Amino acid sequence: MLEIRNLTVAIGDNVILRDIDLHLPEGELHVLLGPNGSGKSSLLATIMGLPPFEVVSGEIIFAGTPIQSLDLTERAELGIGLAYQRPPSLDGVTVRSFAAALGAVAALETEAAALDLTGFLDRDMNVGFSGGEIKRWEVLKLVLQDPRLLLFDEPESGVDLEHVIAVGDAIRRVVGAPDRSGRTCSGLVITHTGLILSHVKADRAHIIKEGRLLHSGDPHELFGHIQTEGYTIPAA
Amino acid sequence: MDWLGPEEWQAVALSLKVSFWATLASLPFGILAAYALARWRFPGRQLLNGLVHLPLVLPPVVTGYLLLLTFGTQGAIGRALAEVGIVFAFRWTGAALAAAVMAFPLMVRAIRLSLDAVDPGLEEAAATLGASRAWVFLTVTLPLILPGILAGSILAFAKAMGEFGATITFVSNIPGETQTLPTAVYAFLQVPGGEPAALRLVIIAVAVAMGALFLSEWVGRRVARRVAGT
Repeated sequence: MLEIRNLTVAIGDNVILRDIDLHLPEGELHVLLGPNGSGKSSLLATIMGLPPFEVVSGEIIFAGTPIQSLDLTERAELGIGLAYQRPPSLDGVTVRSFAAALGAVAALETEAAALDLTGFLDRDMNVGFSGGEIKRWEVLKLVLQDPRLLLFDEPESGVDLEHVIAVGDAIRRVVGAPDRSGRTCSGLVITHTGLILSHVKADRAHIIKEGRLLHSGDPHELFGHIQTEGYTIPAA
Repeated sequence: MDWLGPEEWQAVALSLKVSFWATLASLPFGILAAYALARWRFPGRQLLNGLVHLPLVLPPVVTGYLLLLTFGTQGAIGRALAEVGIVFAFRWTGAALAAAVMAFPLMVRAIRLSLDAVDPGLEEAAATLGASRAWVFLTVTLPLILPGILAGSILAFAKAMGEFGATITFVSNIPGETQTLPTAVYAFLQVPGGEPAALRLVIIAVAVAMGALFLSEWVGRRVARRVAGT
């Protein structure tokens, strides 16, 4: 589904990611672990095609298509979607009208209820939302957008424990399941706290540190290792 | 309008017509130039920036003469356009062209300022949802810069109303065809007893200019409030 080969990414002359190799098979959910500023968000932004990240070398192949030279819109059309870490507020655009623009009114009520956002449907997007509410709405937005590859940038940060379960449930229901055109969805999640790991079925985890992919392995084992040893390579 | 003589009224009406068309016709180019300067990185960007702002610092008579050289009946572009029936020299359309060129920097600056205030994150977010560049521009960027477009247009209109040097050089001072409000003031001042007519036109000119500045300021404040998010 997603194949990243030898990827080096820079902002101007400043290299942010170096020689990243990552393989995400169709239907799987992978998590990215790493300290602040390690390049996890930069990797998601690069896959999505957000500026100012520039691919210096290497390839990003999505569903058989090299996408590194495609623009944001083309990647979105191919089926890549991103739940932002800090999405913008949209004064004057209600959640309901936004869902209508996505063509997802039918799914809105049920999905919103699952994420406990039923009372938010007629409010302006992210205006006056708490940190956790913004995150839940961002997850809901991505679910409504219905991409094949779902990128979540810290979906559980700032979300209270009870709602982390709802966020996890939402991710679990979508990733591995078919999208509206019947294609199986895959997901890549950045997590800081690891809380989400208890509520999703993650297939693999990758540690990113100082712009390099340090190690990949079983999510729960790796997270346990990080809790005791920090972001290091576990002994074989 | 009894207090205005027919010649004065003609000058005011012509000025309004010239300024209206100068503003309207230059608006698409103004938006394009502002967008290119604010968003695109390309070789020659500084040159474009210089060209856009040139009329602001050049003596207007020089701009008028350059227009005569290029768009006059013997000018390279003027001759080609004349063959398809578009003539600028000594026509009101030429006065509109001169006014548009002179007002262009003010229009571009106002639009560019409002473009700079647009959060690129909003445009990117729209693109991540699959909106094409053109659709993002039409549905996200354009509504956000509308106050800048309005302010720029009002300023350009006011500047066009007052344009003198380039106009008189390029299209002369022909009553009913190219004699705009400022050139009429000048003409009245050249003849004995013309002062009262000139003064009446001066009052109109001041009123229009002040009105436009207030309107532009008001629109500008609304932009500032919007950017501040209140």
